[in-house]
Amino acid sequence: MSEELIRLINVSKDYTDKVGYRIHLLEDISLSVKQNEFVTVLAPKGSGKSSLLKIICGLEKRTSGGINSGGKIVYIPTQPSSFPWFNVEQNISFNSKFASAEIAKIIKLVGLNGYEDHYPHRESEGFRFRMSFGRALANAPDVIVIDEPFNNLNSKTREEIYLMLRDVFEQRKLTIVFGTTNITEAIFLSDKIYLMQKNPGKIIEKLKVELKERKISIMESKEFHQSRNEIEEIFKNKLERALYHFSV
Amino acid sequence: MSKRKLINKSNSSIVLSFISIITFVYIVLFEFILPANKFLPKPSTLIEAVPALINDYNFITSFIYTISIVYSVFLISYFLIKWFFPIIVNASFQFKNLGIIFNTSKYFIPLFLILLFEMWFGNSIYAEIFFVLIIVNGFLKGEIFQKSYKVKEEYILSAKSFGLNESKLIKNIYWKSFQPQLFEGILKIHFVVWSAILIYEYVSRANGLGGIFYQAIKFHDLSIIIVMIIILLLIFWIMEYLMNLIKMKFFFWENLDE
Repeated sequence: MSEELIRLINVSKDYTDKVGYRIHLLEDISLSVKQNEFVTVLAPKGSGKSSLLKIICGLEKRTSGGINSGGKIVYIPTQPSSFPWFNVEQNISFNSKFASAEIAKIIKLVGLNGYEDHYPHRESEGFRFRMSFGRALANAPDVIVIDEPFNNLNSKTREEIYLMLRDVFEQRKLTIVFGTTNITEAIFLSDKIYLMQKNPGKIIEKLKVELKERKISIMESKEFHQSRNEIEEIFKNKLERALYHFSV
Repeated sequence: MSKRKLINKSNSSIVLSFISIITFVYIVLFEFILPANKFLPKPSTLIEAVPALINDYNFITSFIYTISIVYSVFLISYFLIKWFFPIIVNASFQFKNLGIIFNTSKYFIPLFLILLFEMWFGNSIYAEIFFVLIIVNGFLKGEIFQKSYKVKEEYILSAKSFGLNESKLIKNIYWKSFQPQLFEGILKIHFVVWSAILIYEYVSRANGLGGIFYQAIKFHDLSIIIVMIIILLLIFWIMEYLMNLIKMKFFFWENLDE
């Protein structure tokens, strides 16, 4: 049985906004992430998903609740965080203890071989995500937390990156916590999905995803559509208005 | 081509056209229509003034003197800021509003300093270097104080999640984010520094280019003053161009203002 790497118990977060109102952002969030699991938090915009992911990484404080986590958790923010002053190789080897041969392997794994001396400011968002992901891998993490990375990508690039991400996840036996508003993306990539409502951010359902294969063509399959409808139904029943904030 | 480059290109052509028209009008008016007047010398007199500037006014020595002070101080300031960056950036988190004081005082503080330094030290190369150092360092520190909160949170958070401690965070994220901003700061203060040093040399009758202005005014040598203004504009423009090239080559990533 896989070891549990992260467990959140009734985590809540309140804060005071600029006008002085007390905002109840997250309420009693409980979730668990096991080793070698791809867990997605699927939630509408403004639900506190990013705050939740930062809390998991220890980058933001919670108001109450408990977290049990072990090992190194690396965070990839919404905007690809590849450092513009470093080229691909320097970005990926940043803070890494790996030898150059291993770095070269990672560069190849994320599909950037041949681009080692390229700088991120001249490249696409997809390219920059690959760099950030490569850098995360080179830091030998126990868990990688990825926050809505594909917002500005076109559909073709998205699909290429879905395949790369899932492929590397399986090859390297990674553990990933992923935040998104996109239902299709959540189903295609994940093993487990936590559905979250907004105002306040709260987990409303936990779903297991069991796809026969992870190929782009499966997105057109009956089982995939069923999963998507199931999620839409849950949101419709439990949280009608939230559905409008989702992208399919 | 980016919008900024297009604007720069069109600005350059406007400036070039303006200079060409002014030069043409000046040549026609003062060489042929009004050769003898009280206001401006004939263009041919300006050409004749160049050898006098070199031989009688020691232009070459003065040029090396002033230019080496200006640009060596820029270099020293950059490294001083680099060495003390952790202290400065930490102080900027504590006293954010100090940046406004640094920045708003960049024009009038030099004027007070000129008077004080003239009284205290008179004609001294060390005083001149120290004077320029204060101006450049004050301005660059102001930039850090005002903009340290603009360093992208994404860089800081992802670096923190790699387990970087504060000193590594400052070295690898804050310093790198600030490098183009500091270079931009040097470009912004370039003109102020040149003006301040010329006034300082003029007031203290020092050996530099400002000293030539003092001598020329003393001897009512209008041709020398005009030639000096033209040469200074050229030097300034060339150096500005070179500094922009250095920025594009070595500090090409986004400024904190972008």
